[in-house]
Amino acid sequence: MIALLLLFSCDGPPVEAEPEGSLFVPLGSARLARRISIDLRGQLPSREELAIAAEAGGIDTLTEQWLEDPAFEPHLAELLAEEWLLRLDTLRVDTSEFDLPTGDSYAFTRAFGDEPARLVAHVAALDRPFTDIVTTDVTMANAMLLELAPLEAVDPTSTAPWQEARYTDGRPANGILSTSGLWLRYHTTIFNFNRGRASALARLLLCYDFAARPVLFKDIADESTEGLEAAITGEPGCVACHAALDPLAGTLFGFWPVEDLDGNELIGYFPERERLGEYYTGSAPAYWGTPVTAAAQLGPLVASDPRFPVCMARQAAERLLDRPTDEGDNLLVYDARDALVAGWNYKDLLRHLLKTEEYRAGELSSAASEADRERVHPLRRLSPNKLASVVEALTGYRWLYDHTDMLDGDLVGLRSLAGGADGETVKKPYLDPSASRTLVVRRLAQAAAGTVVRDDLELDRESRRLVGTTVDDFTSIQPNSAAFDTEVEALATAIFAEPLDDTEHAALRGLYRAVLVEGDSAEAWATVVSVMLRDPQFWTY
Amino acid sequence: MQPVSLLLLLACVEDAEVHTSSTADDSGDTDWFVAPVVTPVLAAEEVEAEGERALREGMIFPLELPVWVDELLAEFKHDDRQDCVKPMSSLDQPDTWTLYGRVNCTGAVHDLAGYWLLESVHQQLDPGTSQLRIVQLYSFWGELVATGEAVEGGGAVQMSVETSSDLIHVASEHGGHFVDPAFAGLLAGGVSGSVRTEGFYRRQQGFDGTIEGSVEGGGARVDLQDIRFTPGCTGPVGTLAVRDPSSGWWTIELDASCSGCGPLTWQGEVRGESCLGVTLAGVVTATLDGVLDNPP
Repeated sequence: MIALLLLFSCDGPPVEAEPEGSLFVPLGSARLARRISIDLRGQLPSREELAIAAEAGGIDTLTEQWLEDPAFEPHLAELLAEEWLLRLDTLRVDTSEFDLPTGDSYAFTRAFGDEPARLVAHVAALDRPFTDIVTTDVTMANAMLLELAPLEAVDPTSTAPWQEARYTDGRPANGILSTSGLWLRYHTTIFNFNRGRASALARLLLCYDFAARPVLFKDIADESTEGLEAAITGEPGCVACHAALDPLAGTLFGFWPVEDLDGNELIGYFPERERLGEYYTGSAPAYWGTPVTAAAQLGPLVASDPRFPVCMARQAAERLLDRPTDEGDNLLVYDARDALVAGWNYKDLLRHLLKTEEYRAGELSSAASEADRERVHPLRRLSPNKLASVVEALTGYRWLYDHTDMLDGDLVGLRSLAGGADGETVKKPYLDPSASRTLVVRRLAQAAAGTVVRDDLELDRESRRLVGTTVDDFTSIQPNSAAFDTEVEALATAIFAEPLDDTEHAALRGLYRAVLVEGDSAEAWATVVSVMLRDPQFWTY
Repeated sequence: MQPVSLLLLLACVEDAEVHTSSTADDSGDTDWFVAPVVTPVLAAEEVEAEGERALREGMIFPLELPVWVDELLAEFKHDDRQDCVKPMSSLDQPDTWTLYGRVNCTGAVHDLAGYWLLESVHQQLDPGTSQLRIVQLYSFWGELVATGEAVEGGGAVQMSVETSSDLIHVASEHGGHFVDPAFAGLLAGGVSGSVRTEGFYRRQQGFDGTIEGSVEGGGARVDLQDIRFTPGCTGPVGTLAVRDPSSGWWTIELDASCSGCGPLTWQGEVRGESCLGVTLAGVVTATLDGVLDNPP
């Protein structure tokens, strides 16, 4: 079995000829379509879509099609929630604060955690001006949010799992900056006075990290509350950040809780507290020096901040290129920023990035230096969320345990072991192969393969999801027959978007035969699918 | 990238200010951020009305029970219905009652499905003296039957009346969320937030006390900041800050001359003059004179 896996993994992605002078060798059309499909909608392309990809202009056609796919919005929300570390397993308050059973914990944390990401994805999916994410008066809510938060549905007759809703407690129209979800995730203690929230705002929307500022400060002799407060305004090292941070924190005082373990305090908005910022932080509310005299000014100030589109472009580039950016990427990032601000359409930003040479690269060319190879990763790796999403779309299997998605949590699930970030102790995904990630992928592959074979056995050929798409009775296929090769080839197209070579065919035939000795053909097909799902060609793209 | 270098880089990019009103250029005279102008939703007259209403919320004593609470009491007193509205405790004194029960359990349609705790004490402190204590306590939580809106709240009014010296000490506090017509009579228009009042009233001198807190209703939220009524004054002194639905703030600074008037400002810009609490001072005088004349 190990030999089989190694055999599969030795192949690099099918690429086109190396263009002269370029750092990148383009990916072949099928694998490129697979990459774009995963990035835009979290699923693999169908056989018909792969055929379109092979045509001239086919990739552009598919890109436009997938940008309008119903899966685009929820998939983008998942990616954003992952990037912004919104999906914590535990929030500042738990379900007991809202008279919910403990069993609803996962749904509770995901409802609030996903709210801001859902709104951003909704704005993007509907081609609304992207500045709406910080200026709209609507949010997105599911049934639990509508029940718990001070919200009313825009369309009360809607049965959509996530729908537009408006807060009813007087909070300003500041898009995600006025969502209970964002500020329950990035909560403040009473005596932090929203400073942590202000820092999160700057980091998430402006890519400005107060905590990363290179400041020097002396020991603070008086560590009492009064001493620290004095240092904030008098010690140059402290002032370096607090001069901008505290006024920004002051703009969020409508969300400041007087009791930070009270659920309603943490998800509510209190207009009468808006004016307390100056009293508690000693600084009048301001946005980098510009006074903020009304809470509704905050969102437009962010929207007009030149750092905002740059940050959004940078985040999208890092997501699609699967690597961090640095000063060397400024041209890439600013070009992407230009694509965004030209019409403030987020899809234009994605379109631009999807056409870059680096995005479309299958491998680095011989012109690439060691430094280039260190920095650029032509091979993408499925994060736990993408893995779950792709496997579900391919096999119909979602790994759930007691209502919890096993690849989307750590309290019950295996997210961090699979390389994901839990948002608290693990802040960045680690997607390189590791023992734990390999074990998670194996378990997922086994369960998914068993499920799809069992389900497909019950269906007629046209309705089958993955297995038995080439013959009516796939349990009767003999391993040494042409029908076997045809069926395996169909599986390879669906799973890898590329054909198998003779050695791989032979290896799968041997595996199928070996399982048949002790089991039945359904088990044998499940084993074949399971092995293919564990292959690096599947979980890379 | 360091922030400074980011800003320098941005300053050289021609369309850094594509959206809205940033005016970045490369001259070094950079005005990056311009806060948008906020337009008020409320008219000046509405702001004054909200301010006046908020002042009244703090000046209602003794409380009058909403009609539906009266009905509840009648139900409680009805022999057949005590299973529905049970007494939690009894202070065993006249005019004292405590209720704790589901309001609508007998089929009678009341406004609140939930629990209501109400206690009212009229106490002669020392038999034979002129001292009287009135305490009204209430607390409730539940859901309004008609709208499904969750409400909860509580409060107290305490009046110590010294009829021989025509003196009343008043302290009241109301807090919670019960902005709804169902509560009409309990307070002037309901309250969301909290409001506290304390002071002395002496006949022919007037009310000497303070009101503070915040009151929501009518689309606005009013902060009462150190509002003080002083004997001999036409109106109160202090500041009312009224939060407009646009999220901007109106303020009314009732000036120290205690005329009850002062400048009305929108986001710091003077928009005229307002007078508040002038009529209210007279209403309070009449009410408290009534308490002295006819102790409850």
